[in-house]
Amino acid sequence: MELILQAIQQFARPEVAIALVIGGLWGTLAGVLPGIGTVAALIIALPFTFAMTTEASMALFLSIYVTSVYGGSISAILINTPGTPQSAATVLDGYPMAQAGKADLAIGWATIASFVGGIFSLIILIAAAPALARVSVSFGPPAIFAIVLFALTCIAWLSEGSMVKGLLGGMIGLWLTTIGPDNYTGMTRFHFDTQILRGGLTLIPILIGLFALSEVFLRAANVGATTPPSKMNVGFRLPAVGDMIGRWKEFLRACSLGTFIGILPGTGAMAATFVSYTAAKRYSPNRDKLGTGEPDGLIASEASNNAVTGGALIPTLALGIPGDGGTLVLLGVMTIKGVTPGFDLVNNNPHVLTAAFMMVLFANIIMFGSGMVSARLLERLLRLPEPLLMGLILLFSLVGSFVVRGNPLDLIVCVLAGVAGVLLRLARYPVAPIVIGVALGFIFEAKLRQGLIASRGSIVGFLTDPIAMPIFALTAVIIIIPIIRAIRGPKSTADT
Amino acid sequence: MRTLEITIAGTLLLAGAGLFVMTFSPSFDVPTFGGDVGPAFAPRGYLAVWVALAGITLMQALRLENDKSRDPGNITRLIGASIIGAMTGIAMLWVGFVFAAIPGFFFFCYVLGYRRMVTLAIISVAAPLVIWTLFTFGFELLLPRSPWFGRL
Repeated sequence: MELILQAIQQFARPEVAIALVIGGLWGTLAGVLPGIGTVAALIIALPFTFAMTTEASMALFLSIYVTSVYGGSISAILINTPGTPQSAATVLDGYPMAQAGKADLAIGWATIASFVGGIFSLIILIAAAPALARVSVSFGPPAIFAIVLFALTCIAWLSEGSMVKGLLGGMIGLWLTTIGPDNYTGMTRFHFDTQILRGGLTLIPILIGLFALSEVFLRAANVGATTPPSKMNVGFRLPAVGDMIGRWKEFLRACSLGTFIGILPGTGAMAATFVSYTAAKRYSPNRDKLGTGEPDGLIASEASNNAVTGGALIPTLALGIPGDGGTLVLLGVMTIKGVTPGFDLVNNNPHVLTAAFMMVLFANIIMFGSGMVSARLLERLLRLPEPLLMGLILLFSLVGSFVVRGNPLDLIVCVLAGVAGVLLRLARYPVAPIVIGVALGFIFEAKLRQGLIASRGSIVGFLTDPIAMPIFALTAVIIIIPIIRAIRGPKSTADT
Repeated sequence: MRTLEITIAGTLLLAGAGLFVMTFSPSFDVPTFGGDVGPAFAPRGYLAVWVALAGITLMQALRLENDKSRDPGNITRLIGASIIGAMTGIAMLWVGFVFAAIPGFFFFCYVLGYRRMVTLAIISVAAPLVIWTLFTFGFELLLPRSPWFGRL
């Protein structure tokens, strides 16, 4: 109680409250705009913290961190473009829902799922930060590899009707991550004697190109044929309470997975989102409708990616180990401000830790308001004639792909990915598996090689790891069951 | 669409095979830290699966009957919009964001069927300038610059 009172004293200052609100609005906006994302949003805000107090800086950064993950869902729902990579799975059900004229409800589901995910992980963060932080460091490369492998199995789920094409897309995505420098030997792979490829590729331009640009180009062929944004019912509408309560299992599963994966250093929200979506495909009572505008898909994606925020803060605050890129920047700011996360923070400055918890709570509440404001603003924007709107999306997509690194290669990659995306979609290749491959490829290879180097090339180390073993078993079950069903089932899918 | 499917599957098969062969070149033969997991380890695995899957996809495409019921829409407009969009992106590297985006936005919207010329002309100039101002001065993120006017 004394800790809470001390935390409130630190928290109840005008500059802290203002920082929380500004951080919430900026975080949501940065999430909505494709290409900016959590890390860039935090970095952009960095210079302002030099003139701010420690508490206000923490409030600003925690608020941006929490709300930017949510903001990505709004553009994913409305324009089929995930504003942040963490929202890549949100397009799968959010956009079809918007196309069906229920954009307001989709945003409502995304908001409530993000809120529940954030609050759930916060409760876990408060209750178990020190203990969970100790457990998380016992996850070695085999365990993290097993989790990423599990996340990759959702490629198979997302490729229904053309599983071979989906798996091929996944392989293309994985291969794209091998272009550029190899961190273990220093050699540069697949640079084709060009300087421009020596730095390697990043996710954002590929994601924007495949999702946003290809969508804009394809819409050109069907202007007026698809649901125009003005008919999507853009706005903010919360789902009925009974409907939310009826899906408590989906919320619980997504929140648990998100928090758990968030705790693991270096795994990130993207893995959490895809693991959660895969689990929903397996266990949701509405699994057959996933991918067609089913709220369970939105819950799986948004509750898990926001639950990661609280989860990732556990090792960050309790051990000083960043859980993802966003917490890495947060860690840097806290260190600049004289707060040393880890043992010192947990044991010597617990009131600062408690204040951080409260800031996360308020950031989640602010997320509600900023979601409503963003939805209303976008409603007006989306009333523009479709060609003008498509033109603006084209410009924002190109800008979004460039600003992350300021690298000309990213602009070229985005354009090429856009054109490739059009051709692939015309030939009925799903593009989401390529994005999943790129999103998880870096960590997949890193953990695989780390584990093999540690075990001198033996895979026994992977198969005997007590944490990895059950995850491998679950992955095998998930892969094998659809194959058996396809063989035994009355309707055999020729494509698989 | 059958021709497109065959072309894409064939291209992916050839590309995958070419890249797979590349992983056996001397440039990939570098000392490792043990475990026999050099820089070719992961891509070789990915590409082997890629080639196998592309082979299956090609076989499927060859067996496919031409589905005339699928309407891809106005192909001319699709090609036009794709070319303008791609050229706008590439031109930004040479003439900067603003000078590429103004004509790019204008012709893109025109190809998509927007015909209110005065409005289009105004928005074509205003939108890129607003975006450039927002990112350059608001977010302090530099967009591609022209060789003529500093940050513009």
